[in-house]
Amino acid sequence: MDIKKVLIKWSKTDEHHEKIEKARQIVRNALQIYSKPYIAFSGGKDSTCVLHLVLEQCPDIMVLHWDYGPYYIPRWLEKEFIDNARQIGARNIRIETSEKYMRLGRNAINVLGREYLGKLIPQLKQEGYDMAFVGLRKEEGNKRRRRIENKKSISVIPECWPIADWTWKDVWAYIFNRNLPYPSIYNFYAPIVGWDKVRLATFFDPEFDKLGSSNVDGVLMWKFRNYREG
Amino acid sequence: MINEIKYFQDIAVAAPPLRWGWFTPFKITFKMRSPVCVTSPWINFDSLIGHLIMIDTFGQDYFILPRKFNLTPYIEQANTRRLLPIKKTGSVYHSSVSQFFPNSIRVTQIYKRFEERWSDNLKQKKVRAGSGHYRAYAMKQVYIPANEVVFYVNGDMELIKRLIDDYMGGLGNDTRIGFGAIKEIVYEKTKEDYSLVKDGVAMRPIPVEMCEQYEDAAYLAYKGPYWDPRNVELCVVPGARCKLKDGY
Repeated sequence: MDIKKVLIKWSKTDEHHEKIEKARQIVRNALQIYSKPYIAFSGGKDSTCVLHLVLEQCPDIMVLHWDYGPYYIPRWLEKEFIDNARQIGARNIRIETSEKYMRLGRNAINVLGREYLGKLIPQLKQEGYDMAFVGLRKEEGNKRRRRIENKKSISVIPECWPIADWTWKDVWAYIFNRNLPYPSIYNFYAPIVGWDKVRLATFFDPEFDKLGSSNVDGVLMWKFRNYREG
Repeated sequence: MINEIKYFQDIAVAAPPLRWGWFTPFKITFKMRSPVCVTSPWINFDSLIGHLIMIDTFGQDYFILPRKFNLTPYIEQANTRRLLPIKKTGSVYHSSVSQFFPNSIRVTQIYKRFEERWSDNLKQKKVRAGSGHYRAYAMKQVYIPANEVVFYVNGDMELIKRLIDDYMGGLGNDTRIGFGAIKEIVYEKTKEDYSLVKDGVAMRPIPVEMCEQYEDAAYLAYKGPYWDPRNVELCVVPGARCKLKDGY
């Protein structure tokens, strides 16, 4: 059975429509309260949905994308992220990165914490940004569920999670039903890992070794294992 | 502080030599009883034999070999008579990567956790499963439910057979939890050497300098230990069409 057909059928259910309407309402309320929000766009499936939901109501909003560098994300995939965002309608895309990714290669550990959360987000706060739309979902894990339930932002800028209650089926149904562009890597990983479990993360990242991600990357992304710049 | 290199060199020197016989091209087929667990799309046969020779050389000391440290150059110096019984061209061994039949990739989740039955050996009364040395892991693991795994080799078939019979507990990773159990091994001599190229297709990573033409290349390790980044070169990828230069 074609999973895409099943998920498009799911997109016709009342349950799914209610979740979309609730997400739109969350976005609407947030846009009324906050004057200068932005979208945290990783390029993955969840942030793709959030991007589409927010752009419907605020087409000029700033879309912030963090580039993990060529050793963690292949350049063709990085290009896909940006192309997809533009295709969905993002006009104001801001791409940020850290020179540490180039300098340290795959030894770049916790750069996101230090550079993104520790430096970039405070800088954005200084620039006047007062809220971030983030594609966090409760279903992803207990830590995330608790974070959402306790309304705990991990940075100095408050976060809004429009799709917090969505399941993996809602996410894919939203994407397939609207024919939204999504990274092609999902078509490669999902049939093997499962459409319910597939996640976009940095490849060959030692931080995810404990989850066995490098085992999967070693087989599915073997050409990228020994990536060399230039 | 023990000098690790000297310790292992001394063992290697004391180990009896591996007596090579005739080298011949052959095909080795592993008929599998359980799926093969992998961390790359293929298994390199020369690394497999290298692993068995290390067990043969070091015995129980094999299990205390330093991790992520390439001992090979030191052992070669210590005992040149314990090298792989496989034909070598330049630095490339004439042994193919694994061919899985059928070749379909699956993923499962394995759980690694401290087992209470060992707790008597510990000083502390509480074991933290959330972090530290005894952390419990839920890890994704890739496996291939192949019926047969085929390698092509050019080497000493009898010696390789002996090493496999003596030391090989299973094929691939995580054999301790049941993956890679072998039902039967079939050795067949072949008329031609298919270990590098078969029907115009690369059978292993081959450095591009050895090829006149090739359709696809990537940075891959072409000799053991395959985890060592110093052994990575631009290579023709296994499965790509290629033509070796005349000298090879």
